[in-house]
Amino acid sequence: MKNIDSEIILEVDSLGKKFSKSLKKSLYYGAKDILSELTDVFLPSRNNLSKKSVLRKCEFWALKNINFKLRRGEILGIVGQNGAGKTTLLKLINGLISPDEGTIKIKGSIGALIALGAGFNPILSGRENLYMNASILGFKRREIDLVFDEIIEFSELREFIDSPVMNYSSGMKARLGFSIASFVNADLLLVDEILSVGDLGFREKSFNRMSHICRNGSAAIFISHNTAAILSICTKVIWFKKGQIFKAGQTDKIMSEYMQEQKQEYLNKLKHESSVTQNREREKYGVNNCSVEITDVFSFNSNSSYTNEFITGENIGLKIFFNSTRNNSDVNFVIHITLNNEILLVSDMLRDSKPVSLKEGKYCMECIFTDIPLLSNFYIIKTFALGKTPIEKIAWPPFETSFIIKDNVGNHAMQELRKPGIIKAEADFKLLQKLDN
Amino acid sequence: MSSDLWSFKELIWQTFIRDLQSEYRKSILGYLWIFIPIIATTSLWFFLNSQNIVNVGKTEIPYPLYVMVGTTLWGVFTSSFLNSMSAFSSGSGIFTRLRVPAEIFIITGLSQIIFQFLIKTIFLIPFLIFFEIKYSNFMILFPFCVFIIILFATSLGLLLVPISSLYSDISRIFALGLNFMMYLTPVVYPIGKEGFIGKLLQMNPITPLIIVSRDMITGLPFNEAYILPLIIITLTSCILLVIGVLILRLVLPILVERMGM
Repeated sequence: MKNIDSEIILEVDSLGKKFSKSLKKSLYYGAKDILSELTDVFLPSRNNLSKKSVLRKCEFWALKNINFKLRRGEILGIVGQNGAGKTTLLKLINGLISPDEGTIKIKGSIGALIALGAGFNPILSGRENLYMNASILGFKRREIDLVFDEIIEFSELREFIDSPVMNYSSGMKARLGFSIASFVNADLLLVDEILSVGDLGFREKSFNRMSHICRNGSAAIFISHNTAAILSICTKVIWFKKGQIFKAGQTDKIMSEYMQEQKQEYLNKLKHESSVTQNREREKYGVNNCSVEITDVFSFNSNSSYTNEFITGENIGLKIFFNSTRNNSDVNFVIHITLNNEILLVSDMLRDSKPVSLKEGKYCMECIFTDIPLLSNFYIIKTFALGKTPIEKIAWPPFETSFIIKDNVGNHAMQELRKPGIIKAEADFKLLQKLDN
Repeated sequence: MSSDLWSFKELIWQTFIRDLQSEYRKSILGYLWIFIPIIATTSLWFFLNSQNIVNVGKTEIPYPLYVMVGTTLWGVFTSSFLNSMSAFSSGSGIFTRLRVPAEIFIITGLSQIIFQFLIKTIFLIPFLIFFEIKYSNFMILFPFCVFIIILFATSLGLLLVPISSLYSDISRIFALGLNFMMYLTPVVYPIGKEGFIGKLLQMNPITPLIIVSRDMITGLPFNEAYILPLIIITLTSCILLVIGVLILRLVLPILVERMGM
């Protein structure tokens, strides 16, 4: 007897799809493909199969060598940068376009939560569009009548359901589109980045609905840039890079590697940006005005080992290396810890200890932040030095270093992401008494 | 294939209703726009003819009626012909992203044309009475003749869809060409038998369709010379329609890929 749980719903075998970079060429190839498709049918003796897997001028492989299987009960997450071929894959599976190489086998019906609100007519009311859109998605009028109230309730648009859709905000349109689409029922569900619609409240609601649908459906493919969503819904993940499967496997494993790379790219980008701004500032203020040049800042933890990853509540130490180009008195080092250019924490020598006097030469300074209450996120440390007044810049522009704080509650990536807030507040909770009898 | 479309009958109905509701919602004159072009063309040609600017010769029925029926029929032909291409491109936003048969948009376009044609026919009745056209049993054949016009135009238009959705030149060329075509068809003036133009008019496949349809609604007897051309046109249209649908189904993935991702 066949085991239902391991029944294969979708099988993708050495799939490949090529696209053209130039529009004119793309149209020309399209016309040629139509001709060859027709001659194939009317003159079946001619063999065109070998031609399909050859790249023509201006063409590239949007997808190449894609192999995977999806069993009943599995939810596959697909991650990767823009242009990695994620949406193309869904189009191929959905049967909208045909592959140039390989095969796709599907067992059962397909439901798609993509292109929300496709075909909305701006002149018609929300109600009329609802019926229209639902029948595009394959609902019968009777079925729509049954869930009509539920859809409106979910979209929170009851008040506006009879006004024309052109007066809706883009968020409202997306809400209506999602509410309709989220009533689909299928063996294989295709979901393409639809969680980023509406305000925060609606996003959370649609996320919950999404995970509910995915879990109730037989199998699902889920494309999202929302790592938290992938982590909490998907049973396995494929990571696409430039049209190929880069990595595939267990959600936790792949996602932690994926996020690690994302972080690295983010940090590299920051580093690049900050070096650009530093150069610009240096030009603006003139190097000559600054008598102290910060050459490096390293962070280290309580075991004195250099790292840029810390845990909430841990001590963060900084080693600051700098050159003093002449004798300076009253040098006031200032350190800002920032998140998205917002200054969160400030440490100022003038306030916290005493300014230092420097002779010409190289120095190394240590600075330790104790019990940093920051929650998990990426932070930037800006180090600079001022004179007696804040206007007098002694080491400027700020030297930027970055660090990551992880939560101290385990290291499961999902928990790490799900914690809201920036600063941990210590509080004592005490249950006093029961008020009623 | 047909069962596939049948399962989408509700969508076809919904789209039909939607188009009907939205077409004239942003207009004051509303559904009057169905008649205004006919009235305008008829008045123009009536004026040109009565002032002897253009002399169209003698018609068997009163000239205003001749033009009115002619332009109505010509309108059905052109809109059915262009419908396949325009419906395909206006529906592309949906069928390139969701799995919906593309033919649905062509069918709803056609239903719109048929609906408007019915209204125009009702609009013709007072004029028929005014010009003292007597009822004849041939009038019953009128809808069938119009059906053949729609069939013929659609089958031609459908064959052009694959290439016209890649290159917009095609629909432009044909929209322009139809303007010339009208003067090679007995729409606003009767057919001349002599000369080069006369030969062209005779060879034009739309000529028998227009003439027979107009004869039917205005109570003239059926001209037996047109029976054979009509049968040939009908059969050819049916074959072309099947071929057109098959080709469209076959190449749709290619079109979706090239039309918009």
